[in-house]
Amino acid sequence: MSKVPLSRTGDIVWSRTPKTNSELFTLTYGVLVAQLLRDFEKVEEVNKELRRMGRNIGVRLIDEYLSKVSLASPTTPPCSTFHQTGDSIAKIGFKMFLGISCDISYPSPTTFVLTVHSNPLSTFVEIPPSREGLSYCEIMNGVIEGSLGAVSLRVESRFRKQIEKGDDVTTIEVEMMERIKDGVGEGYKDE
Amino acid sequence: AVSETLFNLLLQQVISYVQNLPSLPTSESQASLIDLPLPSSFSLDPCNSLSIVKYLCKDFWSKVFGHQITKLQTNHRGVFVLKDDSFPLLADLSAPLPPTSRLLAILTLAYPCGLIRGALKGFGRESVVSCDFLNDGENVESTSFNVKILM
Repeated sequence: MSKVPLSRTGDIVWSRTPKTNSELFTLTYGVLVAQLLRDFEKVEEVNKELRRMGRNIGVRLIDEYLSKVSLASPTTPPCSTFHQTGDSIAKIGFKMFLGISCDISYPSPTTFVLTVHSNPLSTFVEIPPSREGLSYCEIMNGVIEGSLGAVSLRVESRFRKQIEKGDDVTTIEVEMMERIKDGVGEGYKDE
Repeated sequence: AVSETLFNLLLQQVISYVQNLPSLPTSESQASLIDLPLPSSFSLDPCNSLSIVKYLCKDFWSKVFGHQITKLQTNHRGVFVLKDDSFPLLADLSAPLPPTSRLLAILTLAYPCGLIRGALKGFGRESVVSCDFLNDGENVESTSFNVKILM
């Protein structure tokens, strides 16, 4: 185990990260979702498109993550269990990109659940009843799947609770489906 | 605050989404994709367009992009030129621009044009915003926005 707690590493990386106004980010994401709702007939298609965009973002975020974290904390060993992967996402990943850290629990060896108390993506959002099927923050699932996919972990990420739908917290359940054998991803992990 | 990288990646997704639309929209509708009506929370002379544009150049630009507009020019008849010498969204490009990056830069700049228009809309002003970049042919980050406020 590394001597430096993950949350400390997260704080270090966050303090060194160039930042952007979060309202700008939130509103930009909001107009994107609004535009998608106008362009697609079904909310399911909007969800799918958001997830696809999230994957594209995820595969690039993981590069930034690996390079920044290895600089901030060279002694951190690669994740050896899926739960450690979850810890790293909760304490470093969320912190360094969204400026928040989230709680984590482990219902089973191949699953972890992230609990987000305030979600910067959906700060100003309420979903009207007519758009009930919309998964507003679906892009987050895509980011998690895309970034873990790039390091040889095929996972499925889905929401259990969503603040914008009236829940008190947002919870994301991430389940490991398989460890992809043989791929460029392995090379990234051995440092 | 959120990470700048994350924001830039989100913006890239927006741009590639717009690029892949079946019919490429005009520059006008590209901008309106990201119109942001941002209400102000303080008082300023609402009758005076110049004071509104000054607010955009100073407070608004600082809040959104971290610095003020470098230079503001106006003909005092509704036309304003806002010059930014280090526009952050173009910082990753390098001169001289290949034609493909040029298109990308133009699409990227639809975003701040929409921001300016949306902000002016928040003050009850309709406007036409266009953008010149590569003013001097060398400094890629240097851009200027032409704002025409319609009375």
